[in-house]
Amino acid sequence: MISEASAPSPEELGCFLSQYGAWLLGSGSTCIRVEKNINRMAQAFGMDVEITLLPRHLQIAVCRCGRDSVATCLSAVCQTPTSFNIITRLSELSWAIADGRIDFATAKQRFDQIVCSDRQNKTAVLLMVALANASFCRLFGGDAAAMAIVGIATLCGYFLKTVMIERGIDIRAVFIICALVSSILGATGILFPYGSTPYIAVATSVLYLVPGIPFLNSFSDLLHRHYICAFSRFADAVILTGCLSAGLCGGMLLMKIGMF
Amino acid sequence: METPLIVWCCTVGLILILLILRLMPHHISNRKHRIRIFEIGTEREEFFVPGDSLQKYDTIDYNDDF
Repeated sequence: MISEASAPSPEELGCFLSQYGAWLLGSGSTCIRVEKNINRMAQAFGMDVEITLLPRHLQIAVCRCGRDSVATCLSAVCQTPTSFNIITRLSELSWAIADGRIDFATAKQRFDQIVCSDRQNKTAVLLMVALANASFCRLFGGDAAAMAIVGIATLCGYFLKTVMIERGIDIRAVFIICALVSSILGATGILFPYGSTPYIAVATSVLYLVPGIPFLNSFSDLLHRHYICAFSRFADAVILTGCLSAGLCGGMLLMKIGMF
Repeated sequence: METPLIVWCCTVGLILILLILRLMPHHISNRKHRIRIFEIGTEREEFFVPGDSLQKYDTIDYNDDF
């Protein structure tokens, strides 16, 4: 445990931990991960901590072990894209504090570096998403022509998604439009006689939009009895899936593709 | 022309326009810093050896007056 002289005050630690938790939760971490990391750091500084996790806010009450004065801090969950890089590096930071390798001032500096330096190469991500979705097409039995069509449809759809999110357009509208565009481009194999599995191309052209991480996190939260966050994440994921389906159905109707 | 083909053509056209509008300013801003594989160089650049003075004269011809 870090000595009391070099330890921060409950107010300082509460402020730091609430920001830490807000970033961790916003980056796509589960509630149990947030709880474990925050408790680990608080114990290293000889403090007790109580955490209230809500879908869009995080409240932390910090007090020194065995004392009465409590500092309470509230932070809004950061609205950032899912980033496993941030989650990994923030977890490493919590271990560095718990092991006593860094002091509080260094921890704050490192935290600022982690949240400010997460720059993903947009072009690389775009190409990787297209490649992954084309691989999904192959997994579902698509031939080379279908894979190429799905790859191009994903490239265009994901590019459109990036542009619209940068412009601050509502995420639900973004999902509908991207699914519509990708499904129309995915139907190229039906419109022109390319390949032998054009319907697989249409079906898999929108898979990159499936909100997998919110679904997984909601089940994890459910298992750990964080029911409010679980239902909130599940509702978010269901709404996005509904938007995706609406866009896909719109695309299929426009391209006159029979659904059943 | 049938409806699906018109829809497909419009979608592809819009995506292409968006792509051009998005990439063109980026391309123009990076033109000055572009690494050229082939280019017509000046005489000064061709005969420059390390240690020569840098742009001492306002001429593109190489001048070895020391």
